[in-house]
Amino acid sequence: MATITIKNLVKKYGDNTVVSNLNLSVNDGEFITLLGPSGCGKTTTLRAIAGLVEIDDGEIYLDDRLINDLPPHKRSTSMVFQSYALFPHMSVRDNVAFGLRMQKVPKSERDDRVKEALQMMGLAELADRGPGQLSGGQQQRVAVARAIVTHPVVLLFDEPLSNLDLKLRERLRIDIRELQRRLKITAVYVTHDQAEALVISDRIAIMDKGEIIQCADPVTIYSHPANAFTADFIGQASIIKARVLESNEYGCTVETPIGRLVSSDRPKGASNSVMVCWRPEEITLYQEEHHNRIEGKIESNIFMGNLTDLFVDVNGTSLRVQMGGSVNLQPGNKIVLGLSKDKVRFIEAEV
Amino acid sequence: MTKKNHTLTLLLLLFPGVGYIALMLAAALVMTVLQSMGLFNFTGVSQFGFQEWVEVFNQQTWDAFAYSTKVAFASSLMCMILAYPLALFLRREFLAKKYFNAVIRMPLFMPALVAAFLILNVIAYHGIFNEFLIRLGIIREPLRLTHDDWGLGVIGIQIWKNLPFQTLIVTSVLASIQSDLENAAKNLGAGPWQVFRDILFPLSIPGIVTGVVLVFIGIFGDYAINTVAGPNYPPSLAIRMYTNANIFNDWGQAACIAIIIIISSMVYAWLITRVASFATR
Amino acid sequence: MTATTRPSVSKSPLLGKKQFLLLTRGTLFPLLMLFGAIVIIGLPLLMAVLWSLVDPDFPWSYPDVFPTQLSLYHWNFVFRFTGITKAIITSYTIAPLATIMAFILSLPSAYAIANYNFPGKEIIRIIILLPIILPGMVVALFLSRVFLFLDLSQSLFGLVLGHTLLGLPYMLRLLSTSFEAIPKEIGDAASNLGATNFYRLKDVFIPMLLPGIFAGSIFTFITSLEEFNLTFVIGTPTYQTIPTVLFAFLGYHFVRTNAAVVSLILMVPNVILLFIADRFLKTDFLTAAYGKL
Repeated sequence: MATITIKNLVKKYGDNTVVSNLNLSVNDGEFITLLGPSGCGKTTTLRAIAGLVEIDDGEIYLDDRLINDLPPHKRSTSMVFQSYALFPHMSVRDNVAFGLRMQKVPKSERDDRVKEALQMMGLAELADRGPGQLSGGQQQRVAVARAIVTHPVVLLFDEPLSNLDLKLRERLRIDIRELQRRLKITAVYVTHDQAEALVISDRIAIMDKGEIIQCADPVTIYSHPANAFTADFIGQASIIKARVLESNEYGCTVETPIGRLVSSDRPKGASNSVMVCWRPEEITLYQEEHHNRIEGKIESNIFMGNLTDLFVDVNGTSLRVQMGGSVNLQPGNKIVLGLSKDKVRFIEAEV
Repeated sequence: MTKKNHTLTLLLLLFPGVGYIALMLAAALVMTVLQSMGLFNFTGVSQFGFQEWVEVFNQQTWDAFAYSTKVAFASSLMCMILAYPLALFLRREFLAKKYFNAVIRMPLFMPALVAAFLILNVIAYHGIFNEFLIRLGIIREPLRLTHDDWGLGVIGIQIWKNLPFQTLIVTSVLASIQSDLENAAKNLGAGPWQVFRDILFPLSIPGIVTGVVLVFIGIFGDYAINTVAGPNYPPSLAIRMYTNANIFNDWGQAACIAIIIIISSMVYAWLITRVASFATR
Repeated sequence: MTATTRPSVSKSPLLGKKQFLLLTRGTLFPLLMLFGAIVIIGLPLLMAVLWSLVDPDFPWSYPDVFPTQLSLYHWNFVFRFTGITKAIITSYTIAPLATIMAFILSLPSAYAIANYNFPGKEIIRIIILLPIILPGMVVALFLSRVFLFLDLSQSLFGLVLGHTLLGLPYMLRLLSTSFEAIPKEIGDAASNLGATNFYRLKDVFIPMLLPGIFAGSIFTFITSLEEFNLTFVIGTPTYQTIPTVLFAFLGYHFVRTNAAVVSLILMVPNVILLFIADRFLKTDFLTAAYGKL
């Protein structure tokens, strides 16, 4: 149970700056996810917290303690690795007991705690098996058991579910979240799967090219993305260039390639060239109360089971519209779409 | 953790293993060079200078050098000529392959002296090989195959001894060539000989070359097998070196020959590699 | 000449062309090769065994294909009247000592090579191979001078040092390959769970390295047992090993029967050891030790 504070973290590999001036504060007991595409520096940041990479600059604090020079085996920051990293020559039981052995916990207490952890993760019958005899999901649970049994102050997860299939992932990510809540351990979770991040996090830190782009709770990140990158990375987004025509305290009118749009939001900067965005599920068949009316022609109708993706041509721009169920409209059909003004948001352009 | 300088740790870690080798070999090398320059003469006068070098380039040294080169060249060439087809043969599955493999690997585990004795025994003047040929009527008198002036005995022993090693290398090199390349060639109409000539052989050369160099250098610098089965004259370079050192107590000369052996080996290694890259083209 | 029609294969009582080829290709040829291999490889061995068993009262010479009478006389003789027993003890003392020493020296270096990237790594790799590449007698001769200078000549310690030198290339290569095979995350996980470098080595790395350690030890052990040049120059006449005794019987005093006996003594443990290795280890080790330079 600890807070993590990272100040101005820098990590370079040769000429390549993988993490640049990263600042992050994690509250006690919080579950924060580092989310971003490959190469954005999220795993490096995680490993810096664990002490497994040597940083070039910056400070890392656990509570108020500067841990820069604390070797990895002295930090209480247990990690669940992407490949699980179970020791192949040890049984499940011995794997889980390893950390306690290193802490010189006396045997009887060790046995009890191992037993408890195995039970918590549903691994009691597998205790004497070797890692090679376990399925992916089971190995993952052993990795988690091994990490929590040492009562760390921070739990770190390095894309622990990426090697598992979808159904298993969906179930296990909730299990992990429940576990963390119960144990009240501060957790930092790395993933590139935005759906996963939305489901399990207290806060999400979206990263790109070594920097944190936006850090907020899932709802805020989803409904108020700060810029085009975030908007596009989490969920889908329609992002359009626009020119400000009129702006006052009630909202803003802009001119766009798909026509004039009104918004209840206001542009961030002073410039007249801006970008607006909305989510494909927020634009739908036109109804009276929609403030924006958009006419177009269906390009394609893609049925995905629980939803339908429609691509609509509006004055040469292709708009994506998502509706539930199936939609009985064919390519070539005309369609009138509606968008309410509070869904039209202004975002900063990508850096 | 903040970045540390690992150089010291690295050096400390490398020192026991690599340092040990480097130190001992360096000491031996320094000793050799110094002795070739006339120093460290434990018997006689130590005098720095090139006199040893002037002395060493004589007829006997040249004869020994030519002999060693000839034997090394003949042995490695013949060995490769036998090993390659053998390796190709081993690519397919065939009856009793397991046993064949086991038998053929036997000489791999054999020390040079034992190999020397075993073959010596067989090809001796009264050995079974000669008797066999006489029985069959192929020859009337036994052939002198050991201690002969040409070094046939040595060559035979070296081929026998090195064949498994060469075959092993060629086999593993061939195995590392993607079978898809062969399949693509066949698909485009190449027959077995063409597949070999245009695909397998050129691609296998880089991997094989190191093995050839190793075998060559080993035969070139050999002492034991030549003592046991080689001609009385000329001796191999290594024998000449040893004789100078321990029998004539002329360590200066021995040192010079040692350096000749080492430099020749390096030159030969380079030559072989050049020929190989020329053949790959 | 008019063209003749080929007889129908299926009706022919003899083997058809296709079946003939199949038989030769599939059965006859491999068997011939196997036979050839057995003769070329096995015959010399057989000769050696037979010569070691010749009865001194019934000398084996032309025209007998096999010795007329077998006896263990020469085995007895060699063990009683030559220095072979002492040589066996010496050989089997030096070999384990050299192996242990090679292991201890190699472990840190192999770890460094596998886990660090540094300039000059290629040069280091070449240095490691030098003891095998350099001609044996050259190294032996001049190392002996160095040893003479250091008062290590004619000493067991000097012999162990020398044998260690020759075994290090194998041990280093095999250990570093084994280290490289351990996924980085395993070492990270161990540190992450609180293991100091010592415990990481002891409880995680070494158990995972055991096959490599085993292979390296076997190669070093056998290299030491077989080593001739170095022992000959540094050790004799004070210390004899099995190879030097064999050499004595092969040189001026060529006694065929004694040489046969000693050859077999030298060979059999090697073959057994390498047989074990071949069975229980992957062939990757063989190529790692010798090839892929």
